[in-house]
Amino acid sequence: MHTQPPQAETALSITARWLWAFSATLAVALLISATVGLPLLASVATGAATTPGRVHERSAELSRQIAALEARRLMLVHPLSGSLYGTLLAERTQDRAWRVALNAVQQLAATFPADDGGAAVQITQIQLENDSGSLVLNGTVRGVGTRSMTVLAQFSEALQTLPNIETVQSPRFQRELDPNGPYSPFMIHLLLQRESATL
Amino acid sequence: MTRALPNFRRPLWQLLGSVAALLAAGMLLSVHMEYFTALRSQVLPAARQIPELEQRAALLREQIDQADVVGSVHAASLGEQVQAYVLPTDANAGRLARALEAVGDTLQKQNWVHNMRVEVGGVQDFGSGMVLRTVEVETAANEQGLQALLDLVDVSGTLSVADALPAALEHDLLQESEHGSPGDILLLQELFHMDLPTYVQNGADAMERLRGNIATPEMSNLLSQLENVSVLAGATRLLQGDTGTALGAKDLWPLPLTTIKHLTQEKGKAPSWSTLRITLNVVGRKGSTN
Repeated sequence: MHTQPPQAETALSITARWLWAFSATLAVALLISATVGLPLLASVATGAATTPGRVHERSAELSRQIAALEARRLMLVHPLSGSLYGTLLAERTQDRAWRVALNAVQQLAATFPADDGGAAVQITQIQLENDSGSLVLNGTVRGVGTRSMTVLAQFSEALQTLPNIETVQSPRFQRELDPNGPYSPFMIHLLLQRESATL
Repeated sequence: MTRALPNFRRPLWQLLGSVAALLAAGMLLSVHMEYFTALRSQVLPAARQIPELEQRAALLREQIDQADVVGSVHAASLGEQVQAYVLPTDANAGRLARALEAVGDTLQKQNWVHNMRVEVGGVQDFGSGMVLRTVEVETAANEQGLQALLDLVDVSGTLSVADALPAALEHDLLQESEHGSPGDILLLQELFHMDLPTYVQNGADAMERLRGNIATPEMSNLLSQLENVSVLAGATRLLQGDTGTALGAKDLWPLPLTTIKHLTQEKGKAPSWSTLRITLNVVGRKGSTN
């Protein structure tokens, strides 16, 4: 009977065998880690016997509970906050832009001095249409000699910078003369900023 | 009988198997990396918040238990006041007209207004079961008189301190109440439930009790902001003097919810006096006959 003598292992076959053993062991170890180790680690890290998914669920559930409890608490201290009355009152509260604007306009007018020390910008009539949010100012600029139109232009520009005023329609510029000297009559239309419709 | 792989083929299969196993190991490593990243950035912060959330939910429950009885009774009382006075049937403006006359008489004695005329107009549909009634007011007034009349409109229809507060301030006060004991919510509830005449009389005491029990700088700061709330400031100006006495004597509080529709102010002959023409809208519920 003729038998072949065993061949000596080549370097390639030894390397291939060890590489196969190493890579297969590594892959199996990582697979076990991913399926068993990681969830276990997350439970230990979060300090709760639960999965990461449950952590989010619990957190969201608690947030929902807190929102409901806050709403209940609000109802106990401010019972009509969500009622029709509450809504109407809130709208009325937002409807005070004109009062702030009017104060600001009157304060601004007082900052333009006439030559005699009085106020150069004299507002003689204010008309408010609250539904449309329009404010109309009628008046004169006097006591500043021939600079009345310049002062009117400065006043008109300064109005644009006031709070709660959306637009300022530029007035017609003209200079007239009466026994007290030159003056510029004006009518200025302002549109107020509105946050909500008014009653 | 098995056939052994030829010697040159076995290392080849082992190499290919190794490559496949290393690829699988690489993918599994990437899964590990993603898992750790998610754990650190999302899961751990959420997990750390859970005890705080549970504690806050428990505190809110305790506050609600404390405030429940008073809150429920107050809600029923407010509902009745809204129906009877604030949003009256057919926007009945009789109460507002009487209040304007009472305030006008007082302001005239103080020489802040002259020749006040009040005229109640017709009713018009506003939709959603609501109606509006116009009330015309014409008078000569100085700056204080104008402010008093506008304050009257501003505070009309406001039943309690809570109704006057901006939502953000109300929210901040409630949040800050959590720094006291659960029972301290009753002090905040007492302040929020005060009607405006009571607030003008006793509001400072109620705020002092709150400051004493919840002694945080933030609570003190929030309470000091109440002075700047326009309705409360207007109520203080209007109700703490003779005008408040006149309204109280004739039992004219609360007033119907009123808004300004139109206002004309014309400069008068005397310095700081003007002629006012104000059109008011009184809001109310549509009557059953309408």
